[in-house]
Amino acid sequence: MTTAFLETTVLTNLLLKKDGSEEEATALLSTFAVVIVPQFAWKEFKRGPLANFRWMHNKLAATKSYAASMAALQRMSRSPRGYLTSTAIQALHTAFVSAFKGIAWEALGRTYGKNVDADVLIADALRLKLKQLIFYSWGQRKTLFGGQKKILTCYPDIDIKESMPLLDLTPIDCPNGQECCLKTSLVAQSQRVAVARAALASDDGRQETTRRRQFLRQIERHPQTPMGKRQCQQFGDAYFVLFCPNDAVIITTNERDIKPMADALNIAVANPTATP
Amino acid sequence: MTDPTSLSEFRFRRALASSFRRALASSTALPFDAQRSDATLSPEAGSEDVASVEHAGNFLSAAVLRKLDPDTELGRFLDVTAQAIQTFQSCSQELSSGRNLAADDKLMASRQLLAELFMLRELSDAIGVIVLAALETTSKVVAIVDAPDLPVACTNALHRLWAAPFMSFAEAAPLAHAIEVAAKTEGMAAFSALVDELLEAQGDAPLE
Repeated sequence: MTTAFLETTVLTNLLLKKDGSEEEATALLSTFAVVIVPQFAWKEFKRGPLANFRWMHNKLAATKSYAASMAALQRMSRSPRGYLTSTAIQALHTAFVSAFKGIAWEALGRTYGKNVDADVLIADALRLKLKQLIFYSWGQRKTLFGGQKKILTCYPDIDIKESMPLLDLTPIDCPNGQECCLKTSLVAQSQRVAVARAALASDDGRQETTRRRQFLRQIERHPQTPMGKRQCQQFGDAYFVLFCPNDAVIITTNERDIKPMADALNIAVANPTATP
Repeated sequence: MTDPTSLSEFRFRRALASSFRRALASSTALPFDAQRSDATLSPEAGSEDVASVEHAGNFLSAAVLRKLDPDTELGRFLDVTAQAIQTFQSCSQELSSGRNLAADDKLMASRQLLAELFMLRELSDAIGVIVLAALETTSKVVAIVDAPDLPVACTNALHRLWAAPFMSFAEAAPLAHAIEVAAKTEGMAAFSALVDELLEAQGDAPLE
């Protein structure tokens, strides 16, 4: 197989990670002649990871304090670890301090006042790094692997807006009341939709899976029901299975959600982080 | 401000500053890969030429604003940026002449200038992100011979920044990225923990 169909998790690794997983993704993708990044993946990327980066950026801009922003992140986090550890927060602080080593801050402080304060300085530095990452990664949708493919006609593809000092990512979804452009194609392949639905475990207890199954069932049995932005979100991972080009391989780290549906439809899946 | 003369002057200066700001956002006074023409301004250009060039070329530049109002933060930014550009250019020249110690001295000297530029980051985020990239990468270079492309990358980015300090962030981000690439240094490992944390938080309901 010579074509890779990129899913959102691997796109995120490529664009945001710097822990080696981006290199694993690059290595796997280099074995394919063609890599397709569907606009649906960019849409999910903006709605998920990029939206959280924007939140962190805006928190730093609003508080102008590293300590206050990190405290906010610790309280807001829903990660399995619970929160970013104090050690990690201190390590990040230390990393920025080392970027400013050897500078005669006292002399600058006499002229520039509070701009020299370490908490403000590091908050600004982190905010600028996040903003750089947000702009750089979102800008890649025009060029990465030849630009985004399988364009969604109902989704407004818009550059990031600045309302200084805050960032605005809207719209992150299709407009309210807009019928999804994917629906016609989904209704036309209702048999495959049924196979994908049957492959979704009914007992995994996750709301995400339950909603996806309900949505796929709705497409099968009530094709006249409108498909709006909420249904599009519920559809989620099933997109990559039902819209994967013939003879392409889905590249994902989210095997738990994608693989059962892909296996049922005889679609190959590859995970760049899996050990060979 | 009740004096009508002062008020009109105030309005005039505000309008002037506004038009300069707009012009600087899209300035092409010194595209860093373009050949310099007689009408092209650069940080090294004598300030005496500035007004006449402005009339002859019919464009606004950062240098014009510096001449009109040298005491502002923008005036200070332009002066320090010009010094930083000269320092990085000297660094490149020393390096190409094989005087590595002298080149490394120049690199170290550039850091205090970059730190002062970072103090002026409230002028624009374009200034902040480019100067931060230069500060961060120069801090990681143990010896300049390890990153011979870095002075050129910094010179190019600062040249563009000098000509257009209010450029869009979308234009500034790749310039900052070019500096980081030129240094070929490891990324900030501690930053990965924050990235992971923000990615873990993703789901149907992003952080609000």
